[in-house]
Amino acid sequence: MLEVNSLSTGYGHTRILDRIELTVREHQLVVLTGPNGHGKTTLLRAISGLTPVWEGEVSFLDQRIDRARARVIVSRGLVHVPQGDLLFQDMTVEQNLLMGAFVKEAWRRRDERLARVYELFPRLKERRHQQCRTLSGGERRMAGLGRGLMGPARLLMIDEPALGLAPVLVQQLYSTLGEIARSEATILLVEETLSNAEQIADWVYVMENGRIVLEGTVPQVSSHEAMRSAYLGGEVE
Amino acid sequence: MTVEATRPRRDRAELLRLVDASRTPGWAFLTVLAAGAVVPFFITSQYLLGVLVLSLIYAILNLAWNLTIGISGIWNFGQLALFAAGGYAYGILSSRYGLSPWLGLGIGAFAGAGFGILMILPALRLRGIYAALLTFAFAEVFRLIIINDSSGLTGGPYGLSSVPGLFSNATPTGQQRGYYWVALAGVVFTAWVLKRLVDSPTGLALQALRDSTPYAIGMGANRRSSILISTAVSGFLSGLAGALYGGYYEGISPVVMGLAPLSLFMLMIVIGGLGRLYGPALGTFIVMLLSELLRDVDQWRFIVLGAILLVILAFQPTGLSGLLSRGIAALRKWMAEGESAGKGEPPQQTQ
Amino acid sequence: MDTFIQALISGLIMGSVYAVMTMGLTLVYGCLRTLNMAQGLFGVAGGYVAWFIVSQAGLPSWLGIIGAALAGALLGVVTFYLAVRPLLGRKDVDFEMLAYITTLVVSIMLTSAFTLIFGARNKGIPPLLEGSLKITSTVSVTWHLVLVAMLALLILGALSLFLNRARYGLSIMAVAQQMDAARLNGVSVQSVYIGVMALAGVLGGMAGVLLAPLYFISPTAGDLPLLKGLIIAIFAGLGSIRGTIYAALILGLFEALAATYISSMWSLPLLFVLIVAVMLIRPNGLFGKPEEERL
Repeated sequence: MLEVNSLSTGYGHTRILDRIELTVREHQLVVLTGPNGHGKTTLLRAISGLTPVWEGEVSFLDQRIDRARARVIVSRGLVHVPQGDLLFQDMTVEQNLLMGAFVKEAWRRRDERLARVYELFPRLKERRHQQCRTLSGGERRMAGLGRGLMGPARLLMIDEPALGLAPVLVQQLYSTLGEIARSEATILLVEETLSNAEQIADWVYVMENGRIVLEGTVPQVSSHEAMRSAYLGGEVE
Repeated sequence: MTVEATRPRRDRAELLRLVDASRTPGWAFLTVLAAGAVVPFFITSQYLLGVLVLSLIYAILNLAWNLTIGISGIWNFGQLALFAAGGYAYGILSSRYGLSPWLGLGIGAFAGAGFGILMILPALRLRGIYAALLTFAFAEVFRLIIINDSSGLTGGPYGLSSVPGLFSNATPTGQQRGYYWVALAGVVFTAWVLKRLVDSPTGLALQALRDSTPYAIGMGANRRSSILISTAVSGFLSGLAGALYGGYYEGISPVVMGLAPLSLFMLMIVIGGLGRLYGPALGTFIVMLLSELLRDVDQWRFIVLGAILLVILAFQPTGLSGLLSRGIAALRKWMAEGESAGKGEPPQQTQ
Repeated sequence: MDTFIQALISGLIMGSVYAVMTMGLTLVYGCLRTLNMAQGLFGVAGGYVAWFIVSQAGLPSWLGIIGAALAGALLGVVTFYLAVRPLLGRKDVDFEMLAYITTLVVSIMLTSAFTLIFGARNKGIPPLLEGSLKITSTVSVTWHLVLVAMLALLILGALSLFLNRARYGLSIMAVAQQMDAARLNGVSVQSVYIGVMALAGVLGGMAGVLLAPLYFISPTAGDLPLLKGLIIAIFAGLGSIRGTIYAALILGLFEALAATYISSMWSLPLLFVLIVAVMLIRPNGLFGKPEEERL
């Protein structure tokens, strides 16, 4: 579904990503992990069109998107749920969700999509007319995810959904994510703490210093020597 | 290596040193200055000389304004109030209270500095664009107060008249020439002050604050005092220019303030080069020249000048002075390469 | 007491028109981080077009208003392409400051153009309705002002609906609040930029028509409204829609009260002092937020 070939990019004169190779197949839930600050967010931004690509190719559904504008990429079904939510603070929950369906095809079906999102996140329905700046951290995360789900998403790229949330919330969130992965969309997940996503991940890529250093299933990756470090969040033998 | 080959190299090296813009030799300035000083003897038209005098006065204003808006990055759009303050101080003191015009010049300058500080104080805490609005509103309110003044002090909308000039005992030609030289001296003085300031620690702090405020503050720059110094100096020079203006025209009125003059001076500064040290002077003369050429089609003046500014900004935000620098640098580079390329040797540094 | 009510009424009405006019400044700043100094000229254009349609061509007033709106929209787009677009996305410029200067330059170019086309003399346009409405024996409002108030409220209401419900309106707010997220939702930022400047033109043009019968139409007639608009915008906190309405009403009231009890020429200087005082406490305006650089 999504193919990244030899992608390199950066900011200004600084190279952040170096010849990244990554593939996501339909109905998979792929996790991109690794220490923070090593380029995971940059990779997502490069794929979704927010950051220009220097070298390499990205293909989505067999079409090249590495030089395409962000809005074109979204309209093709590749939705990026950014780190830190980036909600429209002065708009209501419902307005934020509606913006998720901005793309024409999605806009036509916005009412049913809205219903589906409220089904998944009943708390959002309660707060639908509240301004987003008044929401709690967990609610904001739900709103961000909900907004992403409103779009024409064939592939959802979610950046650090567990960021800043209490463990209970993280668990709830991940079980919802699992549900979404089974029924709705293919997911590419960025998660610094692999153990959070262990249960639902089909494939894992490990990124360090802007390079993919390891890939495989969760057991394969966990047992590898290079993963013996704190961010695995557990004992490794 | 033959003798013939070494001689061209030496000539080129000399030439290169001559056009090195970053080390404009003192004698070049002196030549220009000397040339400028003798100009009044060659121009018979009073009108033309008058245009030059006005250009010099405006050049002082624009160079000073550029100190705050371009070099220090201060959003100051109220400079004309400082210019007018200088003119009015000079005018009121010399016509109503009989103060010596030369003293009036000094007081006008200090009036400019004083009003400058008054204007910038509330704006110190404000983010860029809010400061722009505040300073702009300050100048507008200043203008409106004068226009509505019926007490006779400022002459209201008609302004002051019968203000004595600096050389009231001389012939008309003598007066004009006198003002020309005083204004020329003013420009030189302004340029000197600016150069000294920019090269000083305060000047470096100002530019650092403009380009990267948090970093500059982290390195110890004091934003508040830097801005106050910059505005005070700028106001002082503008007040001086205003006093010269008031004396030359033997009067001053609110018409020197407002959106139209603001725009005109903006044009001069930006076309010449915003943030460049001497750019505004260049811009002043070019715009005055074009204005004269467009005298007959006065309504088109702003349209033409505006179009020129928009085009320049689109391609070269550092204005004509920036263009000139780039041209000279390119010339140097071409000469350096041309010299060694002609011999089939790899390009090398020649100095 | 009656003079107070009179001042109150006219102050609120003028405030509502100022709100329409300043809303253009607010929306453009929110999306483009540009203080559009040409906003006053949109009003002048609206005034001239309405004058032409009503006084010269003898067509009905409502056509004048529509014409003004269209003229404003056109000028808004022109201003975008001349003053804003060449500066977008460039790293070598201080965008906010240069955009301020370029829109200022465009405004003087337009002033000259209007002088060329229409001449420098003042033009008048009759009120939309003649006569006054008597509320009590000593308090009355001209029908024109009543109509102006109703139109202003209508415009603001329609604008609110548009921004909060319509797909395109929502995208304008989205771009103003969180540009990256807007792009990720499929919004064409370029299209929003053009649209918002056209919208500012429409609002400015209509405000110009509403104000025109009260003053005169001339190439420099936009200067004072612009100054008032800037004061309102700075007071409100740039980019805040709510703040703009409150600040506009406050300025309208202040102006009317000052004119009644002190004298009209002191209203602006006094207001300026008030603004300075407020800015010292809240450096970002009443409702403004500290912003990061964006463009």
